[in-house]
Amino acid sequence: MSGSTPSRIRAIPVFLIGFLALGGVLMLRPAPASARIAAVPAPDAAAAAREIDAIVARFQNEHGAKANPVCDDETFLRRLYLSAIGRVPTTEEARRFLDSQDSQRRAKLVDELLDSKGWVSHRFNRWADLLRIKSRLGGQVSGAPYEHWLKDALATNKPYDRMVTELLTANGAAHARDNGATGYYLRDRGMPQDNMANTMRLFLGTRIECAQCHNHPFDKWTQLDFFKLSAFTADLVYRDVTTLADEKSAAIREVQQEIRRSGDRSKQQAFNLRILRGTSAGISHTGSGLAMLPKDYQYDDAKGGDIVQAQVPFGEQPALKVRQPNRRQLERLRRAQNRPNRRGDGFRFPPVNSRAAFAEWVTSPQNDRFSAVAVNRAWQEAMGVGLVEPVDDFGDDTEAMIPELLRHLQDYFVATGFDLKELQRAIFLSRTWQREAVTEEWTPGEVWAFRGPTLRRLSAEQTWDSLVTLVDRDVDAGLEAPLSEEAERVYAQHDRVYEMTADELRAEVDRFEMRRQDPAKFRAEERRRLAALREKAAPVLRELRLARRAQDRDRERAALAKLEELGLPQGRPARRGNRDNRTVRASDLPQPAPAGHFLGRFGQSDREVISGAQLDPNVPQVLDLLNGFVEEQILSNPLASLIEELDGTQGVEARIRLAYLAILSRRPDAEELGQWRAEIRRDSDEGLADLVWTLVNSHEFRFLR
Amino acid sequence: MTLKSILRESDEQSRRAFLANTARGLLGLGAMPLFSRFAGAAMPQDAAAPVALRPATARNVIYLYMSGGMSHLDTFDLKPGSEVQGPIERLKTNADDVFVSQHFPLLARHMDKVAVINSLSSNQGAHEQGRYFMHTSYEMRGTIKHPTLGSWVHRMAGRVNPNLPGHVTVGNAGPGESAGFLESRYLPLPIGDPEAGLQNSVRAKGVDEKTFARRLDRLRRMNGAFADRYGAKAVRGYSDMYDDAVKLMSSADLEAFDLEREPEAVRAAYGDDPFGQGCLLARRLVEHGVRFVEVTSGGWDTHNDNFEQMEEKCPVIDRALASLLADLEARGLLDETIVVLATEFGRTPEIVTERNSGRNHHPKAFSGLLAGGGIRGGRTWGKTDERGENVIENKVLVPDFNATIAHALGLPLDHVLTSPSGRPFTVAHKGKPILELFA
Amino acid sequence: MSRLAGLALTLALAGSAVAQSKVDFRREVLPILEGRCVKCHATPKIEDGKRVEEPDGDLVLDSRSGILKGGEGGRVIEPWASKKSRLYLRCTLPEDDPDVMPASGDLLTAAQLATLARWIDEGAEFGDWVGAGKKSAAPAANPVAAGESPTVARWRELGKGLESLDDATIARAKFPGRIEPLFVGSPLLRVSAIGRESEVDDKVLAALAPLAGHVAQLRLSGSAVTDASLATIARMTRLIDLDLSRTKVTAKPLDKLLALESLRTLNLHHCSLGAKSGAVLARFERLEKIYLWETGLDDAALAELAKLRPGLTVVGPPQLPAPADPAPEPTRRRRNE
Repeated sequence: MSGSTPSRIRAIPVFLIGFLALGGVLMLRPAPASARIAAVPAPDAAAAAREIDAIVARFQNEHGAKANPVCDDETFLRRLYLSAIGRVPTTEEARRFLDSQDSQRRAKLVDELLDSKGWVSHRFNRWADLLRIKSRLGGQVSGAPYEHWLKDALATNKPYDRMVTELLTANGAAHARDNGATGYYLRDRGMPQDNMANTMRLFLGTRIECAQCHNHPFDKWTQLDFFKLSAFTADLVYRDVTTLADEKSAAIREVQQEIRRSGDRSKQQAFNLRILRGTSAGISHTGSGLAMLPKDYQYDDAKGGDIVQAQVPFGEQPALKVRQPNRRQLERLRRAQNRPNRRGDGFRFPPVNSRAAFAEWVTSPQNDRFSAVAVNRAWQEAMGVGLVEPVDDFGDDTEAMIPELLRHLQDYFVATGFDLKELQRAIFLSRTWQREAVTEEWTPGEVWAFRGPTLRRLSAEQTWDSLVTLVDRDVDAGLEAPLSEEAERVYAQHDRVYEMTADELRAEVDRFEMRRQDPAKFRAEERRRLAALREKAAPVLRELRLARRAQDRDRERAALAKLEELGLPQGRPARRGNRDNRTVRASDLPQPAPAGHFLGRFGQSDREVISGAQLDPNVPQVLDLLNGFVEEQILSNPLASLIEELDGTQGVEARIRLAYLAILSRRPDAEELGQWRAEIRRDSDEGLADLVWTLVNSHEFRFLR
Repeated sequence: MTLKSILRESDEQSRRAFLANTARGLLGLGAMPLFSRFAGAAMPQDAAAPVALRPATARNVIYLYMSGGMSHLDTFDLKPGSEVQGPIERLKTNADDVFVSQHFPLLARHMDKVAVINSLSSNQGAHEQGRYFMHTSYEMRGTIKHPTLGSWVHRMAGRVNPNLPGHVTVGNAGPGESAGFLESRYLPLPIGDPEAGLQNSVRAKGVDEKTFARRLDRLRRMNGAFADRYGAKAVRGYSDMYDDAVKLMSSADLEAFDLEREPEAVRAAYGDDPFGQGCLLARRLVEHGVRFVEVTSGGWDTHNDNFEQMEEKCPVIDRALASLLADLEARGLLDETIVVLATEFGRTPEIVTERNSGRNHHPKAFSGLLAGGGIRGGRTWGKTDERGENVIENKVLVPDFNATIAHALGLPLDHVLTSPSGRPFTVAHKGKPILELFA
Repeated sequence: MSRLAGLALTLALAGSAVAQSKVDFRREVLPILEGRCVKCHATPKIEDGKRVEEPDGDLVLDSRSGILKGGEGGRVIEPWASKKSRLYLRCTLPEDDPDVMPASGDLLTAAQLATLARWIDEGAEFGDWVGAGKKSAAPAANPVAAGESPTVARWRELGKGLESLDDATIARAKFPGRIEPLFVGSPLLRVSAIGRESEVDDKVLAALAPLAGHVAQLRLSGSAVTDASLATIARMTRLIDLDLSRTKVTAKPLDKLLALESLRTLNLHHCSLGAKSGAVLARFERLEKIYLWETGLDDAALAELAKLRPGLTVVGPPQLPAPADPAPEPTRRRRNE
């Protein structure tokens, strides 16, 4: 059985090659390989898991290493909840699993969790760190559509190659409905080369960023390699107010021309700021495939100012037709460069879809490094040590610690159509992952036998989400849908501008201009206008109140949408707690969490660089646990789930067991039980508070074993 | 004997030696000297030892940041009689060569301690990029994050007082301003509200000393068992950090964060506002051995109502800075504390009338201040043209400005720190210190 | 094992934050690399965009970046841990081991090995060395030496001819605060009680006696020292800056310090000196700056002292601004974009 899996998979790429050749020609956007593998029988994660175990066992035998025993149910329970959905299990969830007599209970729990909302939340945190997701992308561009795109991709388990293709070929308005993938480029607005370096590192594990400025000091990359590579995304346009008239509605064009002809600068500004900035911001130009070397290019292999054609630094060159620029184009380019124009309407070579060609090369099943990097990251996340380390520094000579295992994971990943969830399922089902934790640390250069996953601190998000679970056991039920209210608001606002008539647009511009010029008059006018609107919308407002009283979220949403349509947006619905300190999961908070938030203290990535999350200890963290969160949100909060449950439990011993189960997902041993029983008998309330405080502050809570 | 076996053996050896070294320290509160974690007793690889310092005339930094872009023309680089000046008058100070705007009457009495730099120049005209450049000396990149000056100083010079953080920011830090590629222990300790002090540093309400001690005792018992079983570095790191945090809570040095200990008159002298109280906090922290304190004053982005806003904002700075300089001097702290006033850029000579006399961003020329820490005061360095538009004498680029501060602290400007990705960086990014400013 | 013992000693000393004389890369390590390694491990040249003369094992040892990057098998140095650094370990293998380095010629000498190990254990720092590779590799010349301030020049002058103390002597003083060289290479010391003020008392200070001739800066602000300590301090013949602020020191024994010829600044802020102490203070003829806020000397006494000693800067109470009038309502607050 285990022997047959890889051979079956190896056969697949052969018939793909024909498709590939077609794909490049027929489709504007390359069809991801995943779309072409529909004929493959359903992959068997359990078999793939057994193969993982077999390969690891062989490796351990060769090196005389002995695997750790498989961990007990309690350890498995906590490890799986934290690894799959990013929080500790509630007491109910824990009991359900620990009381189960089903021999398949572990596999069933894996399946259950991988299909839960919590999985999307936890995956989002991981990808938000890799993609450097931010709620504000700068230049008044909202990050909500990008967040929506990511959560939706995870919720629908979008194949990985398709995700990457969507990011690399993203085009159009950032705030247009369902176009959030544009956030990938807008995140690095004005820095297309940095973006390219990040792409190479993130998806292909290739560290080429040094070559941006000079030949790589200790790798083979030359600066010329880098510029040829950057030509794929060259001439990308970060759209702002002055670009892309073709997407504007007739009414917008009419009003814009009218204002331009009037010569009223203040009105023009108002129009740009109010009507165009939020709506047309985005990405365009599918890539010219041509890039110019910097003037101060310092090597002998080319001259500064030369135009180079797009070329990938390794693997097969993608099919892309680029014509060398003609003299007229070069002349225009030269002129545009001599008078730099910040507005971005400088000269650009014609688009030839080079971004799509690049995306196809990146995600191709032939590009071995694409799947290698993805599975290696997944393995490292699960086991604590990658098969290749560092996970994003692959070279020509890179050899995985267990090459056979990397091959197996890659083959499985490709066979499943780049299904990240199936990959994770196979790893979670393996005995290798289910073994007791290794406590030694891996040091670079050392042979690592993967006797079990390593002991690790919980991430900032895992820590927060677990604490929040103690406050609100139903926290996952409250998770926002991928289409968040904020994203919906952004889309609606974007749509509205396109639907406005010329008169409505004029009125909007006048209003905005007045606000800038004469705030007092604006406020008076605004009051009058709102009063009139409110009168008109009175029945809907009543409906909203009723819906809120009935706590009917669907009705509330409907009413809100109607009000938005009427031009009377109501902002976000009321929620528990203030906006940023709400006890909701980290994935529903602003990205990254605002300055001074618990999450930042515990090392949440600030989303400036790939994998920016940190696990180091610091004093404010510890002070927060000693004197902050536990006390405020749990011990002195009678509504906290844990406190409610403790109150509702009779008997000292039962309460101790409950606290251990809720916080550490295990039963106390006899000694622990005895010690705490004595404490609590002496003073019930204080003893219990001590217990909860101690468990939350314990190493055992902080670390995943 | 093969290489692999050596590696394995050496690992085992160092692991054992190291366990013996640290066995006594596992959450044994007070058993180990506090700074051992930094000097390397715990784990040699961890210890990023401070670098050897060159002659230093300053030991501490108080870095006052005017966020938004402070108008040089309306503060320290006035052009009386020029059409670009607007309504603000020039004021004489206690130093012959130095003039300030009419909004700095208190500071005017202390300008003998201050060197005014009127020839700062940047190439970053947007706030975020400008702030980043000013703080790190490097331009913003998408592939690497650079440490701010405070983190550089913390990393290279180390902490002064082992009980206190090496680096504190008061008020809001800007986006992307952080320890960069350095480990997170070089992150500043952020204080949002100076009057609220250090968050969570006192026992929660209703938890008395006895209760707290009892809980710590239970925790020690529990963590001891865990650490015995899982002796990983990260686990020990947390044990140490609990030691540190508990020590800090009971440390006399915690009072450094408590402004209530200042006489009412002193608090009033600094000004009853977050910036003034932030400056007072900065003085207390430096006095207790915090090496680098940054205090931010926001709202300098005067596109609109420039002159009205100057009327509001400058007196706050005037009062706070005058008090800070006088107070530091009387305590003998000014000799070793370099006080910096910086901003991301200046503002245009043109006065935009339709915005009720606003000024726009102007990175080409702007002003900053340096005082104390070996800087010779009472003088002006660099010059702009008659419109305040271009630097015409002694241009100071942003890295030069930071190099001057680093030089005062004795940080070797050519000392390379390597990012985890293997890229080399230096404090102040090859800027040249202005040696003429030193006494 | 001797390495381990050495390490232990290093650690013990680290407890009192003493800087040690470190291996100088350029002077001590680079010659070893250049003599024995770079023949086979040199940066490849680039011709026509192609690399020629690949280094053995893809390892380059003639540039900082090359050494840090390592070769085929990964990193070759782990700063702080020679025992984990293959650059060192490979050179310690027996002569007949196929992996031993250098691959040809004699093995490295014991002294060379020790230097290499020490350099790594001290963090493997390169100083200003960059080595081959980039065109503009030469680092900017050290700007410090050029225009040194008079303060620094004085420090150098004072340290001339003085031998640096060895680490053991400093460690024996068991001083709880910080002792560090005034700057790298200087035999003079800076001693500070900050952070450990309550532990620094007369007895602790007396233990500094063997170091006395080296102390140039002494910061005892807020510590537990009393008049009794002045006898110890009086033996610090190279003392330049003395900070006794916020201590129990009184005016009585101050005359003991008159013998300190190098003393330039004296901080007595918040010490009970008494109204009449001006007389003894006036006798410090070489003193340049004195801090006397909250010492019992009134404004007249301070003025008198300043008059008696024109070269002396007398720092009294701070001129703090008077509290502001109750702030008038700001005329208009506007927020900018």
